Amino acid sequence: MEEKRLIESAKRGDDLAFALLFQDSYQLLVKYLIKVTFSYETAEDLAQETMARALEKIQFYNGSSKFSTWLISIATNLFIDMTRKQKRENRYKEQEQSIRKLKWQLQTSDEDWIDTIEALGKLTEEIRIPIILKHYYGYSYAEIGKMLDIAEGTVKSRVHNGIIAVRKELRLDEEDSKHRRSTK
Amino acid sequence: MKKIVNIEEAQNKEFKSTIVKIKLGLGHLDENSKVFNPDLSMIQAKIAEQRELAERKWRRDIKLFCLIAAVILSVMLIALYQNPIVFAAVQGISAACFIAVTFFKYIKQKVKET
Repeated sequence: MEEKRLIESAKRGDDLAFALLFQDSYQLLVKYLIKVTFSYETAEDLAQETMARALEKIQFYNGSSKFSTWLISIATNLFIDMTRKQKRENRYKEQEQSIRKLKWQLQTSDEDWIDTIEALGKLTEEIRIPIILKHYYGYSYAEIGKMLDIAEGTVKSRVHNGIIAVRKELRLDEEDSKHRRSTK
Repeated sequence: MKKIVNIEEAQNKEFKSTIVKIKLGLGHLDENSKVFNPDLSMIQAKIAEQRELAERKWRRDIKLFCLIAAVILSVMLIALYQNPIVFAAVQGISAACFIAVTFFKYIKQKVKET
């Protein structure tokens, strides 16, 4: 109810209402962007760009989704545009560097979960983003399709292929087949 | 038939375990990432800065639009009074371009829908 009131005020040009809305979603937005970019700096820069874009487009926000979901959708598209401008090779190098830096910042190198993060980092953005949105944030395939402007079926196949790729990277298939053989 | 169902079940199980691993990994990343909420006054300052930038951009765009419109209008008027054949040709080419672009966009939209 409070959010709706603030959105209406923001649409009328009330900057304080917009600031309150943005402040409320800031942590969620930056944490989402860290998962997508694996870089604190890029996440914060993108959050600022998202704010500028949201301010520009607030008139077109129809309120059918939560304000934070709308911000996530804007941020995702800004990130995809940003990566499209980079060359593929440079992108992979930067991605690897970002993960190495993240590991150093988190001061962990031997923990199991970092392997999963590295495996996710090896996926392309087109595959990684739907997996994060679906399996971490719990958005439906239809919602993700709307956010990324792709068909629902495409989202499903990207998530499916992404999980297969993560399994391969973590060598889970080998582990499972060993486990199956030992239980026979 | 029974064997097929078992394989499917096993695959689902394997997928579920991978999804759990992904969730755990991302959850740990969330826990370890310390993000502080910016001050409200800082956000307001950024908003004011953005508004100023947008206004400057709008003014620049309007000026550019007026300049281009004036140039096009002058060229068209000169062509109309000095050389009506060139004027008619430009009109024809413009109409053809408009139809071609609209048709291309329509086809692209149809392909996207299918």
